[in-house]
Amino acid sequence: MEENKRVAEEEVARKLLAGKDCEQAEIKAVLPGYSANLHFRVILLKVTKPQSGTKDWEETLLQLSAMMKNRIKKKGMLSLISAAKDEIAAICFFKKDEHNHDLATFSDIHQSLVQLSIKDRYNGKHTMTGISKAYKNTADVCQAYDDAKKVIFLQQINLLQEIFL
Amino acid sequence: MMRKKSSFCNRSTCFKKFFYDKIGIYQILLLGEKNEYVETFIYDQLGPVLEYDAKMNASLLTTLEVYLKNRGRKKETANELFIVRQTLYHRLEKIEELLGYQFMEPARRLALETAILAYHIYQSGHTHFNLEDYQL
Repeated sequence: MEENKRVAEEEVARKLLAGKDCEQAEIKAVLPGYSANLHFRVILLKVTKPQSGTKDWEETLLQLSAMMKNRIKKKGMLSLISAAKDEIAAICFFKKDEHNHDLATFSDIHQSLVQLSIKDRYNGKHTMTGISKAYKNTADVCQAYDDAKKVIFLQQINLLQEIFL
Repeated sequence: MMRKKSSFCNRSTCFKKFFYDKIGIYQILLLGEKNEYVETFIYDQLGPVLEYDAKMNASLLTTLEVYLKNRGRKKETANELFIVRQTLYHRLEKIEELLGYQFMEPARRLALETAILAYHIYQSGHTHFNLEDYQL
């Protein structure tokens, strides 16, 4: 039952991330509480598959996804999560206020992901996080995903310096 | 031409930059289309310095980068580059000779800083940002 639910959620998340059409009803079916007036950001967690001990890698990704979902939920947000290969993408829905308070909330989530992924499992060297800007229309999930990938790309080439930031 | 490793990017600071909202000018530099104009712009702005570095195995680009980052403060620049001030003066003279004496004038400086950021993206092996490389 739980597994079916997770697979259904993963399918909807993948559809959205790939920029495919997805009815509001489909999202609601896997994410009770979702409504079209919510905003969202995509959090992308990129992990490096360890050189050794990769036997249970899929299981590890699933565990990480579940913990990530839990941490997002604790912050009062809904999420759709997709995990594949070396990354976990979470579409996080939230009520946006005019003061962009969600930035602080997402910083907290990022911090907890750092603790979760780095300290416990990857020793700080192999995990990167990118967070998109906020969007409202779910047709933009694909764009949000690209935003997050761009941030990770900049981290990978070590360019996020002080200039202009 | 290989990119010289930047000496000034504080890794702990870098790591905290995880919001797309905060990546500033990179939002433009990573628009996703191969932009030949950007490539031309990089070489229009930095060409003489890049050529000199390649020919002389020098590090004027890094010097310029750190000097701009430190807003022209020589003491901080020399410290960050682990060189004595006299060495820095020689390098700055050379940069001035190559780029013109007004290279710290605001508009020119902005152009140089932007060109340096774009140059590093190009040198990373991504002549343009290829999203296909990052698909799930």
